[in-house]
Amino acid sequence: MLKRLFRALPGPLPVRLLVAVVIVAALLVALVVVFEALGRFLDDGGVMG
Amino acid sequence: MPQVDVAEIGESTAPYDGDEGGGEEHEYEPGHRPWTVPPGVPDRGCDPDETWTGTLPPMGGMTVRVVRGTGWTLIWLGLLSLAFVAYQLWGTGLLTGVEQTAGSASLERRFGDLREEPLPALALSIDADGSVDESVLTPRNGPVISESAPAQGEALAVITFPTLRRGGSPMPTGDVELEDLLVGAERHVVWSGEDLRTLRKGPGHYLDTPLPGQPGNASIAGHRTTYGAPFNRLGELRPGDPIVVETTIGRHVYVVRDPRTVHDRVDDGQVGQTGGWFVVPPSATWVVGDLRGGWLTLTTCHPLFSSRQRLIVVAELVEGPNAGAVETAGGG
Repeated sequence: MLKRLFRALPGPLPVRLLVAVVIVAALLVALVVVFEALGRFLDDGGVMG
Repeated sequence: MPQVDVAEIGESTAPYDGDEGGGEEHEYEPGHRPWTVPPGVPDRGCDPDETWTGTLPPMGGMTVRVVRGTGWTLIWLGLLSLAFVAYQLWGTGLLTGVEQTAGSASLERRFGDLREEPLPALALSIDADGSVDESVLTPRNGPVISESAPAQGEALAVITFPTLRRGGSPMPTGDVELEDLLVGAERHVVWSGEDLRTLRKGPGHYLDTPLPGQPGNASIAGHRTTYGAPFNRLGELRPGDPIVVETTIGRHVYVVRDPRTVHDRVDDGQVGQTGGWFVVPPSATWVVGDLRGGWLTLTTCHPLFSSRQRLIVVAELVEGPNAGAVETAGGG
């Protein structure tokens, strides 16, 4: 599936590689943001109020 | 699908009780397990010399897609769950570790710049159970020595828990130099501010409370399970245990108190097993309210892996640059 998605990207191979790296980086950042939000249910720092 | 030559499989030793269930059954010679023909598959008979392909009845295209899609979705959800746990328990700790190292170096520079002379030696008498013998303490009397707070988000102090040892190292007892008491103990850089971003770096000082070592109720919040879990072991503290906070003006020794002797509204049901902490809802902001004298209040989440309640430790200033002065200066 990942190969199919990669081949679907536009442009020559170097461009596709760059776009793929950018997309993966964006997905990782989004994942961390979601993890941070969910993590506050486990431990929000113990602040009063 | 690989073709299976029945003749090569060999004979089954399982007894034939005539009740295999599912599909059509055929009569065989005694001692041979019958082949159960799945529904929808053409019956090829029971000739052992005949090759059986063992193919399943064909499924529709949509069914295959749904089953495959569900399977992959479940696999990805499982992997994401594992990634979430790993990030919370270890990933955040790595980030905090980097900040703690940087904060430690920053504090050394700050202390070096602002201190006019080295800190005086300080000795404590520690009982066999790790509690401080307060009868031998002679805190300095005189005016309060004040200090300015760094900007929000900057390193403020170092908090050390002598009874919470790293790597199982034993706690010194008897007459001990404070310097030696701190070796091998849990130690964290405290930052100025209690906002979420600051707390990722380690324990954070409530900006609306006095600095540690000053009159009043200095309060510090800290994560219990993530971001290095600096306050993970607060539940082990008992009345009499020392907590040392080092700021620019010196090292301040606090002793954990039974919370029922400090706050009237704490009842027995709220106090933890060790007697050195109690539990309140997050809305109980009175715990970080002002107190007369010199106090330190530590707050963290409770129970473990939940932010539903707060675990609170209260400690009283007994030694350090302002230990005698806070009694006369008052707090609240």
